Amino acid sequence: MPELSLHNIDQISRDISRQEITFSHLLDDLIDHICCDVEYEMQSGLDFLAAYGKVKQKMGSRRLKEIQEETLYAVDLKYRHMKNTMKISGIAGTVLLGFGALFKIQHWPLSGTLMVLGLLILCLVAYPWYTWISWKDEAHITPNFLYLTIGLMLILLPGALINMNLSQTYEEGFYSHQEQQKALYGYLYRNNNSLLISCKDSLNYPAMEQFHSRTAELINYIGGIESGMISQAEGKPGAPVILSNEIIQTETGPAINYPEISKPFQTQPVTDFLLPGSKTREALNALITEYKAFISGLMPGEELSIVSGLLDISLYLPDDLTENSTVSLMSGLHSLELLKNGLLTVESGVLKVIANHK
Amino acid sequence: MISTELLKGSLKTIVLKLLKENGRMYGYEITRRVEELTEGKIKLTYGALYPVLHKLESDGILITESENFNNRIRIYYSLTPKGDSVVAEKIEELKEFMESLQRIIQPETGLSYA
Repeated sequence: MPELSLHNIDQISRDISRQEITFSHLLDDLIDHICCDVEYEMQSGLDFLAAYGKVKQKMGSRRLKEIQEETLYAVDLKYRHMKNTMKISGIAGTVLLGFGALFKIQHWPLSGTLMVLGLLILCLVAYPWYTWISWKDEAHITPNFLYLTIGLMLILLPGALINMNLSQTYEEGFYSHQEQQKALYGYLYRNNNSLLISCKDSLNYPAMEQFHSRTAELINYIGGIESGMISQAEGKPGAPVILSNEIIQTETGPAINYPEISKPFQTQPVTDFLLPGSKTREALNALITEYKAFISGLMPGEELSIVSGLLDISLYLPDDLTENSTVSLMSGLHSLELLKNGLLTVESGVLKVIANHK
Repeated sequence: MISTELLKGSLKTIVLKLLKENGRMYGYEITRRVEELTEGKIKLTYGALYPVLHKLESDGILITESENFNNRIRIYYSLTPKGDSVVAEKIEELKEFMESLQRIIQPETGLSYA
């Protein structure tokens, strides 16, 4: 039997090593086996290259790698489990994500849960397993791995960015708008109070005082609506709600601590308390109409028209129910804050008029 | 030529039997011997042989030694004491299987209704 030269064996070894056979002594097994095969072919008079070519052709190019896979699969129970876990979790995650997307498109319930679950499985189970297995096998980055990584990033990144953007808008937009209204409220409240105090000795003081308490009543009623809405949003059915964090007492009366509201996007409270058709909305309308009537007895027509513009409730709250009209708790609260400030502004104007009565 | 599908279940036994008879063998030698004994009807491929050899080794049935042969490393496989006891059992099992197959494929003439 012809023997291979050192140079020939070297060539074969290099070719096989390139296929990354790393498991145990499989590389030595295969090199020896292929050398023997080549030597066998050379017996019939072929030169090395021709014989080697023939053996390679019989073997196929990707074949050696597959042998290693099969060997690992047969020998290593853990490897088998890992591969199966990866496959199952990969399929499960993709299916969940797909169904979540379908549910979302169809506006069926649970779409969010399905999608989050699918993504979690993909990101926390399938992808780490895949990474681990492929690094164990290959020790370098494969196109498959890159494809998977980029694909996953393409799903995750836009989601994360949108989310960040949303929370930023929320922090900077909503909260600061509410804080502005709060500050304005504090200013108007103190302003009216000091006006009232400065007129304590005036003959008109009792009328001013009476009007002030009427306004305070109305603002109190609105405060009641606010706490009712927050309770409904925060509370669980059947359990009494204690709004110790959400509403705090200040020197200007109860104030809402907006960042403490955990469900700011709920729409049911506004539907139940503020949209046309709800009991409290009817009551609020009636109270404001009454309030307007009360003012009209106190002021001359010209000035009345200026202030009563501020008392048009449709400026603050939707007047008719168009289709799909839902308003989030945060927006509803904002509208009520605007209404309260409107009332304080009216109060300040009216108090000045009363103070100047001769 | 016998298909690898048919060979799969009995490959372990074939390898064990050969090692029992010949002491220690290397991979290529096993495939040559199988080919010779079956007159070329059974050809073991790398893909079939090595997963089985490695599996038997990890189960403690085979043991390997490596030797330098003609500028390359040659891995010899031989039975461990544990493997020795397994061989007879495996062969018995295969024989039984062949007899059962025989009965299915060639029913005894006397029992045939034809």
